[in-house]
This record gives sequence, C-alpha cells and structure tokens, in this order.
Amino acid sequence: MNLNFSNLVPNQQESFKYTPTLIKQVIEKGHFTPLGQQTDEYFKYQHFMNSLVEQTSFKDFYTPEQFWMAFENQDLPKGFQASWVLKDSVFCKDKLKRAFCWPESLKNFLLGNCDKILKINVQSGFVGDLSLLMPLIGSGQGFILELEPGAKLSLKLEYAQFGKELFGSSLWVNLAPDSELNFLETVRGDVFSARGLWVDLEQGARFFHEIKAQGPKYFRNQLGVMLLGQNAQAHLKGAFDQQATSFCENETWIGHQVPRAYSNQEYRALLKDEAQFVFKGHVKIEPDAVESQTHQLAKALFLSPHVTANLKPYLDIECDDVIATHGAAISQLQEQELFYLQSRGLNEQKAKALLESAFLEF
Amino acid sequence: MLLNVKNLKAQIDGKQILKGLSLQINAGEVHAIMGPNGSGKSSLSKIISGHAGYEVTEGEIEYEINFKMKNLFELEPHERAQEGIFLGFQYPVEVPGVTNMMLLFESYNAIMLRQGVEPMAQDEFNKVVQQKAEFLGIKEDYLYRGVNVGFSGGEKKRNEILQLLVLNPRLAFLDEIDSGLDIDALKVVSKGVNFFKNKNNAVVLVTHYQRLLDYIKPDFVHVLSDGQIKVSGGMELVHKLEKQGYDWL
Ligand SMILES: Nc1ncnc2c1ncn2[C@@H]1O[C@H](COP(=O)(O)OP(=O)(O)OP(=O)(O)O)[C@@H](O)[C@H]1O
Ligand SMILES: [Mg+2]
Repeated sequence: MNLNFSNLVPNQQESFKYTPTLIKQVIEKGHFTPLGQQTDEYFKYQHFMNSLVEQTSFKDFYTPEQFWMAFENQDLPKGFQASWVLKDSVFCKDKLKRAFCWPESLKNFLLGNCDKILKINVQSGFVGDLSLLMPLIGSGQGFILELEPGAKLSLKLEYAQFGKELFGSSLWVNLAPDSELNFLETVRGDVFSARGLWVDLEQGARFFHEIKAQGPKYFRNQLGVMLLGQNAQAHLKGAFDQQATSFCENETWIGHQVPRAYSNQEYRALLKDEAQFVFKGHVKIEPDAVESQTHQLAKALFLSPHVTANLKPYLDIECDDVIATHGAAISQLQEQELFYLQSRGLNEQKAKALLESAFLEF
Repeated sequence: MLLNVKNLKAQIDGKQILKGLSLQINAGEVHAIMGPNGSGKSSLSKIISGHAGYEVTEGEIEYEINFKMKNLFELEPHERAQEGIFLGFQYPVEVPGVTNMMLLFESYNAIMLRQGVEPMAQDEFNKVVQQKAEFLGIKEDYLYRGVNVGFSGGEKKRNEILQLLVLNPRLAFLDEIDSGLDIDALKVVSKGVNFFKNKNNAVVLVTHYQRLLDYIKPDFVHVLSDGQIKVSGGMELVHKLEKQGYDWL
C-alpha cells in the first residue's frame, strides 16, 4: 500500500474546509483521485475518507491537504498562511537535524514517501483555534507550524489510520517570542503510528501539550522540546488509556539551553489486559541554564497481571542553580479507595470506573 | 429493631478481633461506643458496612429492611449503603480525581435508584449540597476538590458529616467523628448530627471522650473491650470512664 497523499488532485472550485457534509460531497463527486486513477486502492481510500466523518469528534477540521486548498482558494481564516516545503530543501534538512534523537534509519522513515510537507504560519496578533485531522495513509506526512511573535493558537489534532501498516509522521513547531500554543492530540484505538514532534521555543513562548491516547494499537510519541529563550515554558502531559495489546511508547527530550526556562511533564498510563507502556524522559540542563525549573513524573496504574510498564525518567544536569524533580510510580487500584466508594453506595464496577477515569483526569 | 448484632465473632488475617459481640439498636436511638485502643470498634464498623478483609466466623447481623429483619451478610457493601447504612470513617479516605460533588451525586443517585425514587438532576442537586455545605461551614470550593484530598483532619470529618446530611441514611455509624476537631468544629459536627437524627434513624457514636457526648446526648453507652461489649449503661458510665479509665473492667 503506497498511496501518495501529495498526488491527490483537488477540485479547485470547492471550499475545502472539511465538515461532515462536505466530506461526503467531496467523496461522492470524486474530487480526489489518488494518482489520477480509480483503482481498488482508490475505492478503499474513498471508503476510508467517508468513515472519517463518523470517526472524528471534530465539527470542522482540515487535513493538511485541505488546509492548503483553502489557502489557495483564499478561504483560510484570517491570520493563517500556508505553503509547501520540499523535504530535500535546506530548510527541511535543517529541521530534520533538530530531530537530534532520531536514529538515522528513523529519519528516513519520517521522510517516508512524501516529498513535501505543509507549512502553516500563524501571524502575530492571531488568537484562535484550528482542528487538523491527519489521515495516516503513508509515512512522512506531517506539517511545520510556525507561530509568529505573540500569536496564540489552540490546536487540536486527531489521527485516522488507513490500513494496517505502521506509518510515521513528523511535526515541527516553532514558537516565536511570547507566542502560545495549546496543543491537544487525540490518538484513537486504530492508530498504528510513530510520531515525532519537535518544538523550538523562543523567549517567553509557552507550549501546552496534551495527548489523549484512547488505546491505540501502537503509538510512539517522540517529543523533543528545545527551550531556546529565557522564560520559555513547556507543559507536557499525556493520558494513555490502554487495553488489549495496545503498546505505547512515550519518549521525551527536553533541552534547557538558556537561563530561567520551565518544563513540566506528567504522563499517566492506565493499563488493562496485556497493554504495554514505556516512558523515557530525558531532560538536559546545559551549563548556562541557571535558574531552570524542570519536573517530570510518570505513573502507571495496573489493572491486570499481564500488563507491563517501563518508566525511566532521566535527568542530566550540568548546572548547579536549578530546581529539578523526577519520579515514577506504578500502582494498583487502592482497596481503601474502592471500599470508601462502595460504602457510599457505588457498586464495584462503578467505583472502579470512577477511580480509573479519575486517574486519567489530571 | 433496626440493627441486631448477635454473638459476632470475626477475625482479620487470622487474628481474632471480635469475640462474641452483641448489640441491639432501634430507630430513634443514639448509642455511644467507647473502649480502649485496639478493642475492635472500627472493626465492628467495617464489618457492618461490609469490608471484605474481615472473616465472620460466628454470629449474625440482622438489619431491618421494609419492616423485616434481613441477614446483612447477604448484601454487598454498596447495597448496604443503598439500604441506608452509613459509615463515617475514623480515617476518611482521599480519592484524588473524584470531586466531592461528583461522589455525592453518584452516591445519592445510586441510593435513590435502589429506593425507586427519581434521580435528581445535577443543577438541582448542586443547590441541595451547597445549602448543606453552608450549614456546616464548608466553603463552596471544597465541593469541587478531590474527595478529602489535602483536607485537614478536621475538614475530613466535617466532610463526612456533609455526606451524612446529603445521603440521609437510616443508620449512621460515626467512628471517632470528634477526633482531631477543634472546639468550633466539634460544635459544627455536633450540630450536623443533631440536625440529622430523628425518630426514624439511629446514630452510633464511637468516641474516646465525653466532650462529644455533651453535645450529642446518647441514650445508651457501651464499653467495647477485647472484642466484646463488656458493660452498657447511660451517661453515668461515661463519667466513670472519664475518671477511672478502663482498668476496672
Ligand atoms: N489487617 C489487620 N491485620 C491484623 N490485625 C489487624 C488488622 N486490622 C486491624 N487489626 C487489629 O485489630 C484490632 C482492632 O482494631 P480496631 O481498628 O478495630 O480498633 P479500635 O477499637 O477502633 O481502636 P482505636 O480506638 O485505636 O481506633 C487491633 O489490635 C488492630 O491492630
Ligand atoms: Mg478505631
């Protein structure tokens, strides 16, 4: 299966912001033709796009492709710009270097079979939100997101898996001084993907990132954050609700390069059946990064004897004057808590459900 | 009769705790249970509410449901609560992530469902809870915090009384509801219990001190020692214990 998303041929006359009805229309009218042919793959793809309407929790959203088309049709909300960047351009190669922690083999995987990647710019003064849907139909998709100074964006991103292959995607984010990105990523049960997210923060920029993983078959969150400017803040959290043979790997790299930046990360995994969860946190505080503050915490709640969690928070501090904490905890449902709830009239099932969802709400 | 405990013997982890305990409680009564540390008071409360850790080796507990005495051991812990048994914990448990309001709402509606009463809508319910909280001097933001999380000892006890007033059980077994309370808090908690009690329900107060019983007048006082009720009487027993301790038993 090798669909090339960048070869989809759009119909220029339509408004391409995805709404459930629009998606249906677009598909019915056959506006997208992968590789220009109506092959079996194409019909499968049509079916897939159709199913997106039911699957997503979004009301309005864009895929990266649709975002581009809306731009071309001058249909984007004010404050957004779009362009394509070639993967073998200097710009992209430079970005790829930023993915300092990917092994070479994985870098190629990220490039995948797309030759270009969408770049979204959010202009200074912008305050608003954007929902993106990323159909995982091949490796190497993703986008570059740049917030200009002072821009403020709430971004929601959801993945939709096409087929059963493992696909990799990569997102590069640059946050200019005093910009703020609130980023919520939802990873549903069908997802089978490794995703790299690389974020550079300039002075005073704020990055809030949250992953809600709803039992993906496989999901690898590779998240690199570079705190390049003073008073930059990164708040990272993730709630992994995993059952069956769901396998999630959560690997973060946080670089404190300048004084007085802040990073905080908390990841929790609720593990049922034979689910597996890995957390590796790497925080590096460079010699100059005085008065840095960093916290990392990983927690796993075991609800079956057959689950595994591997929690490794790691700190590398080359500077004296910092506040740093890290911790990891594996626990089971607390009998006392359960009994307390039961003694208030909740049956065992209800009490457990309440404690489980409480664990993931934080 | 509301509750009839007959010759109850129970153990935990192989250790015999209750050694033939009998106790009868009628609606409309207030009972006080006093006794040395480790004598089995909290164990009794947990066995009544269905804690799985205890093994009952002999005896029985009957509880009145719809005018019939029923074997309490046939009910699961949550069913006992739904039938009107409330345990005020000596050490109220912290439940992070579940707010007070959420727990109260779930509990209340679970109980109403069993009783065949229409559940209350959240808005309406919130008002009821707010009013009770105000009565007990509990600030509104406490209602939206994790159950007992970060609460002081006294705040936790007050919170148990809030649950008591909202859930309105028929049998309230309050285990050291006075421990850790300052004088004002003791008055508030007593006010709550006195407001709660009526001729259709019963209150059991486990306590070490006379002070609580000056505020909430017991009809009966029992001394539990070494897994048995050794003596029963009235307030005069409390005065005697206050003066002489437990040595004379
Ligand atoms: N899990 C357990 N394993 C063994 N012994 C236990 C266990 N739980 C309680 N006990 C013992 O049971 C006895 C009775 O305990 P209980 O808590 O009922 O006493 P209490 O009368 O409430 O005391 P206090 O006045 O200090 O609250 C104690 O000796 C206690 O150590
Ligand atoms: Mg006790």
